[in-house]
Amino acid sequence: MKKLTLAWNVTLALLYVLALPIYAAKWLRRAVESVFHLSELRKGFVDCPHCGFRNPLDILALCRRCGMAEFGSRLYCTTCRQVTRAFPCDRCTAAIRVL
Amino acid sequence: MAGILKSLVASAAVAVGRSDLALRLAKSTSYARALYNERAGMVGEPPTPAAIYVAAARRMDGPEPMTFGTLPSGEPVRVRRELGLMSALILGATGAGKSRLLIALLLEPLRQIIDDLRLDAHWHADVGVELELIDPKFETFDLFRKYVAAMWLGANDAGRELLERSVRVIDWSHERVTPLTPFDNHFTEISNAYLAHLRADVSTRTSPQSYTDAMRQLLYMFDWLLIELRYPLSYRFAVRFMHDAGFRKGVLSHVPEPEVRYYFENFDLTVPRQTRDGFLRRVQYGTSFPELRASYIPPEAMDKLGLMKEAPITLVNTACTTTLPQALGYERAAWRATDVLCAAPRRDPRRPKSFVLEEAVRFMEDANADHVETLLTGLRTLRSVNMGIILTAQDFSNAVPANVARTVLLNTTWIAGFRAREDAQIFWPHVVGTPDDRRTESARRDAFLREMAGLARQRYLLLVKGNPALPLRAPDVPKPGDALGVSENQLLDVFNREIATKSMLPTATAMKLIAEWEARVVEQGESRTSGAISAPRKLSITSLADLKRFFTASEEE
Repeated sequence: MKKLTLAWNVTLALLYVLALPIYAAKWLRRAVESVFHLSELRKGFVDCPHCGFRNPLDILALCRRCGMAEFGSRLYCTTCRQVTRAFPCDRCTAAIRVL
Repeated sequence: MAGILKSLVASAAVAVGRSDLALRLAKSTSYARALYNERAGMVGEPPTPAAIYVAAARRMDGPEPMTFGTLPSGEPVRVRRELGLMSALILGATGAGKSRLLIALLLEPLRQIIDDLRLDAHWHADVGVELELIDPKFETFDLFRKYVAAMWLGANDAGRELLERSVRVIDWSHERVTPLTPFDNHFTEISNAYLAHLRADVSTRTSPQSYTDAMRQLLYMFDWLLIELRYPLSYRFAVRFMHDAGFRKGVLSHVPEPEVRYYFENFDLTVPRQTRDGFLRRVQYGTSFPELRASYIPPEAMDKLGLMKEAPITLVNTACTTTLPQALGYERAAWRATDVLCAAPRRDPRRPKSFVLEEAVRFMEDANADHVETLLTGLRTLRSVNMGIILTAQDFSNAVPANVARTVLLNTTWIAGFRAREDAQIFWPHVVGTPDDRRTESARRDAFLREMAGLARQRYLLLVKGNPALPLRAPDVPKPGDALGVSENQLLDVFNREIATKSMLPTATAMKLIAEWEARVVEQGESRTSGAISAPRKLSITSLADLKRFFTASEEE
């Protein structure tokens, strides 16, 4: 019985080792994407992919969930902690996905 | 140091899917920036839809503009010709104004040239643009010919002469027909075999009758035979060829293509009698209507007639709904469309061409048809030879197979949407909303679809790729005879007398030419090969095939 448990644990560990590169690649991809997203957030502007209008991210924003109006990022409400992943372009109303 | 640490933590937070943490970390920066943006006036009231429309209209403007209509504010929308003549899709219900928009867009350059010629008779040597209109429902063809006639009446001698040599008509009626030579290979780069395949594929797919594999093969080989010999489609010829072995042998001796010869030499063995009879019934059906039969002029006679064969402007009427079976009209529309599209890659790109296919839905119903594939390839590639394909359709989203619809939507540069409900969905992602509209997206969408379903005549949405959809009123197109004070019947008389005669001939003359050809080829062919029939060969029966051949020969005798 003990032998069986040991074999099972070894197999499991082996599987983890085999899967490690896949997870590593996944994390790496996500990290690269996050760097890209963060660079946009740091700039404070996002260009509309449809009409090219330069939309500011930090404005007097109105939260769509709780209705709170505050100076800050239009992607995050400090009151209800709602994260908005996309918003409509100020010029053409096309959806702009940021996060 | 603190900034770098903050940034690393923010990156890690986003990487693990906690964007809220990253945003919370940047809270103070966002606050400061928001205040700055507000004070700097970077965040003003978002522009109104009217301002967005005007900005988009300005982006579309350019050299040699075409007027697409006016915005609700009254501002005209002009699109540069290079953009306006690209592939397009015009959607909408009957009577919504599709044809009038086409007339306003496509006849405007021609009208301009005729006006120029009034000032200086040597200004233009040709019409400058090319147009091919295939109309399987007659209305647009009818409007175009009346406008062309009105132009002819209003032109000076130079303008009239230009119109007469620039407009070709393809039409069939009791009185006059345009000769059709579908089995004459005009193409330099298309083999006779492929042309036969295209013709046979169109015939089998547009026909209301079913075709078995053997019959489809027989049709293909028979079309190939006609193309090899430059023969017209003739029921008398087909019957004699199928039933008279001696005549067949004589005919085949003139066929240069060994594949065709081999097929028909073993015809009695390979094609069952029922297939042959079924095939002849279909040939008879296709040639039994006098208007259509008269159009199958022998290509060699066509060469001598001196009729216009190609012209910059070709108006094709294949409408058969009230006078002839509809399927035959679509067969001819598809033949013509295939011809235009196959010749297009080798055209002169210096002169822009618009190829208008009315009622394109019916044309594109069968996603596997070769003519549909040719059309879709044309949509993708003909921009390089300065040719645009304009498709008009009703109920496009429902009636066209999804993959075909997707290809069309991807490869058209502009889309005009008149009154329609389902097709309006194409425009929804590009519709400009009002900033103070607090309704939910689905409520706004429903309201938009309702509005599109009840759109007034002449009103439409224009979507030029890369721009928002513009609500327009199509240009006013006065009735063709109004400016000159002539009736529509007078215009038709002028068109038939001055323009159509250059490319059509009286039906009686056509019938006479066909009768002459049949007498010479079918009858004299009989006398030429009669020796072979009167002296049958002795058959040595050594197999079942020989026995079958023996009995078939006996029946024919």
